[in-house]
Amino acid sequence: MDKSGVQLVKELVETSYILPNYNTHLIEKVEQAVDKSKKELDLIIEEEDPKSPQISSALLYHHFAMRRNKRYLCVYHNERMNTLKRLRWQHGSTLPSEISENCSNNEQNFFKNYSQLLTGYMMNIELDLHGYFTPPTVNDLFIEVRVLTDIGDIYTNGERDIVNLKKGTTHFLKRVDVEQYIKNGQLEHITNN
Amino acid sequence: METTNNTILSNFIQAWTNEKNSPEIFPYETELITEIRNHINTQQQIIDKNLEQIKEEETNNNDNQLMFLTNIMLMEVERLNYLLRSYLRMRLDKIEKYPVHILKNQQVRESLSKEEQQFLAGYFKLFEKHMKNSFLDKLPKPLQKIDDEEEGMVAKPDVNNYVACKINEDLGEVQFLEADTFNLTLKKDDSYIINYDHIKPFIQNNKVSLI
Repeated sequence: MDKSGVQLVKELVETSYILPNYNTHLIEKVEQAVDKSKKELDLIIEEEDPKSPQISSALLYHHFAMRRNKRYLCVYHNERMNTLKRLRWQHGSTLPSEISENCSNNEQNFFKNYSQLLTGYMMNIELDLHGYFTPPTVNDLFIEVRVLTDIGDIYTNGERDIVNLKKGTTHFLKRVDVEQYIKNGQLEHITNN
Repeated sequence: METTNNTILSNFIQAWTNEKNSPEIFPYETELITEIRNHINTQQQIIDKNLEQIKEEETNNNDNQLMFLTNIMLMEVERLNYLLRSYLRMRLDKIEKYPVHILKNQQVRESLSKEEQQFLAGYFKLFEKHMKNSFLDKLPKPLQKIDDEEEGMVAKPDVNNYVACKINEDLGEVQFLEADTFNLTLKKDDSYIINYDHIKPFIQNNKVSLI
């Protein structure tokens, strides 16, 4: 029996990468396996008597093999899609290049369009849903940060103030305004302990 | 005035809690969300005014009391900012998880906000296009469907999940149908861990809250 479907899904589970390389080769193998099952099925239906138990079990075998392989393909693509969506929330509208390299063309298109869809939704409701990923507490409403790479002017305090984030300087700012920079490593959160 | 604000806040917190703990998406709280957003704006304006005032008075020793008050207000506003975004994000999450199911279910679909309905339509299109272009179109015809209900290919919320809930008013004896039929007397302030599907009708009219 063809095992490429299982391999495909296993690959996602066992990898240490955020998003392993899109496996065109294995996908083609699964698609070929589906085609093969389909041909066998058609052949049996044409030539044999489906009422005999041997033939009907062969029918079932190919039928389920086909369905199962479709399911593997669904899982593989769906899981990768979920990863891309998660990355959109974490990194914003551009994929880090090391991840983008591992995507298929379709996936890159999906990411781009999904990103636009989200931006559109946020514009419609007139609310930026980035930030505020964790409930604020008394201790981290404002935090002290050190600038690791030049960022330049950013708006803080609901776009009322401008702060220039120059490499090496430290600032005491509202956490939500700088959350994204900490996440992508441009700022460092200075803690006392 | 204060009391109405407090009701809005506690209602909103309850709506957030229900949304967070239920496997299904609830009707969008149109009025509540508008009120909460207004409240955030009003409070933020007061905070800004206070901060200006504190800045001006900085030279002749600062007004500690005002600073203290402003900080507390800021904390409240920030918490609401979090809850509001979290509420909307959780809903997007559920829409993305069950797009086909929601599209097929008119009642659920219409209980979303207008913007959420647009998002759902857009998302389903993307999802479908991606699956089709990636592999569905290359499969034999009978396998090309994306919403194959018979094959269990449509993701649905697990309504048989168990949820923790609190009873808000006396509901008397209620009959539940599970493997066996059983009766429970639901008394005010009692808490239960119960099958979501059973308790769902009571959540919608606020007789039971998820916790």
